Amino acid sequence: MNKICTNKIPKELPILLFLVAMCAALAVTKSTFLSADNLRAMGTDAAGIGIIAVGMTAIIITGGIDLSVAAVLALSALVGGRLISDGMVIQGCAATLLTGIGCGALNGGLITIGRMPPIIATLGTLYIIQSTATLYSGGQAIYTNGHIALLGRGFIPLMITVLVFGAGYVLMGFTKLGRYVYAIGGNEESARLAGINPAHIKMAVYVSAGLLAGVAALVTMGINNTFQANDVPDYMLGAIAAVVIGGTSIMGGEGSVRGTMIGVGISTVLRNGAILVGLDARWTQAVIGAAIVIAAIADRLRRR
Amino acid sequence: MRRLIAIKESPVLVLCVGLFICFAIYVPNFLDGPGILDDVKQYASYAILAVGMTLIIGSAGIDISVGSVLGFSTVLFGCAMARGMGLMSACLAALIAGSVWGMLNGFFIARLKLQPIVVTLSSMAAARGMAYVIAGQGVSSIPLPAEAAGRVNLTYGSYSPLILALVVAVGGWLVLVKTPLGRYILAVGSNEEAARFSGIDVAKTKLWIYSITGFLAGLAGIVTAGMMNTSITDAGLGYEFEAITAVLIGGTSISGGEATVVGSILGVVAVSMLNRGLGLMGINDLELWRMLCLGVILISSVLLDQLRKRAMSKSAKAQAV
Repeated sequence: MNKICTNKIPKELPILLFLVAMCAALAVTKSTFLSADNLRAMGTDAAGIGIIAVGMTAIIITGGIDLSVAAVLALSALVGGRLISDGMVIQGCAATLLTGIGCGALNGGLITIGRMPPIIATLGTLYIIQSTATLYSGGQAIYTNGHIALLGRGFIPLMITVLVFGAGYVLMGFTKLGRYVYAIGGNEESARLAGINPAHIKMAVYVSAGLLAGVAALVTMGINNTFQANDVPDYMLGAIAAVVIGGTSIMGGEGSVRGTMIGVGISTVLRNGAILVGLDARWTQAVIGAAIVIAAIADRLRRR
Repeated sequence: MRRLIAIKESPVLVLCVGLFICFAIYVPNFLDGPGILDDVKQYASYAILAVGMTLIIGSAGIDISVGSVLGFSTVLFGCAMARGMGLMSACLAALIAGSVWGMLNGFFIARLKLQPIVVTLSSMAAARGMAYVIAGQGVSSIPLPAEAAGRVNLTYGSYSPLILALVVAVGGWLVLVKTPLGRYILAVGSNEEAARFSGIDVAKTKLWIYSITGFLAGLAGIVTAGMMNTSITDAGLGYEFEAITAVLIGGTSISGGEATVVGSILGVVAVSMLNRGLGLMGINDLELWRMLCLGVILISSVLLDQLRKRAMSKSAKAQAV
């Protein structure tokens, strides 16, 4: 489990060292790396994927996966964004979050009541939600007219992300709910025999992931002031990649929110560093792919 | 009825027949309209990918890199042709490239025992990235040279993608049903540990199926390039999900141990009928309605499959009593 044992090396140490080394190398070679502008840019870049990665961490720890998360983000942004652009800011934000929760409940319902494997249920809802989002918006971009620009200003996206990570860290590490999430991921049957209701826990996890997709939608709209249904297709894989780089086992039962935070950091710094050193943008995808495999191998070696 | 329930292809068969009847009645030109062959041909590469995916999902694995590997080999094929390589050697290069990606996947999964979704997620990113790299800065499509395109068209005349897909399907069916490898795949899929104890070389089995799937993705890349007369760096984007969808609609179980190539092909047929039918209905936003229907069909066919299994275990119990 996720308990910190002082006499053991924390499993996140290797990737943390990797992140620090990468930052140090960039800070030494590129003076612009530590400039306020660049830090702000990185914080903004990390926000959307970072926020949904927290929900994804909990889902993967239960042994599930959520392929629909980017679609949920898009639908909730468009539903709420329409109200926000008309000046109904409070209602718009509420609608965004509620749409996220609703989509999360749909996923959770299919998985718990429908007893579908998560990868199939969320592949199905990926199709349904993404096309609903595009149909709803008619393929048009919505503009928030600066009504929620506050959410995207300066370091605010980064601060929101850190807050979400803090909440996720506390929930997963220090509450009963978090314990139960690890328990059903480790062995669902024995968790059930121990008196935990896996259906309730999974429902809670998928609904929270939906809520976080709503939060990410608000932040993304705040940053860009506009949103279009197919703006964020790579967020789903980005989030899964961050979780996996962070050492969470795709089999469930093992992993941590702090690991995911480092994972988000690594992929953000990789992207940023590639731009700073003038690496051809076409290479970045290949580099991130390699980073995922290296992280997985390192995790494998550490366990031996 | 009981016998119908026992067939794992029955949900997808019902779906195909239902779609066929609905579209044949309500959509004019569905059966005899222009371009039916072109429409069907579009699905040759999906069918080829779906056959490989059936083997992988049957072994309880998954491969989400096939679309990117298709893209990589398409681009490699295009580059080779553009530099004046012969058709055969360009094909060979594309097939080898696909197989090498598949072998890499298989090596990491079978020998280093990493999770299939993690490995193929990263090769999905890497293969697409490498496709951009070999295509060159800012190049998104490589047209085949005119005389080469003519030769490709001859070789890939009107029916040949379909024939190729059919050959691959029959081959996949034979492998799964008639060869030891097929037995091993299902054994590994239903219980890896038990398979190992009964003397099956699990790592070798996995290495084989991921290599085969990579090879097939390379083949699908050539077919895609040949049909469009050009190699596009974004070719195959999202195909992995469509292939997985077709396989799951077809009745192959995501938890492994149960696989059917016939079902997967029927799944591809269902998806292609859906696309043609919706296309002829003249709907705006075709792509979106298509995705919406795909999602609903995927979820309902899996739910239907679970009902089928429940009914089967009930009738088995009744018989036992």
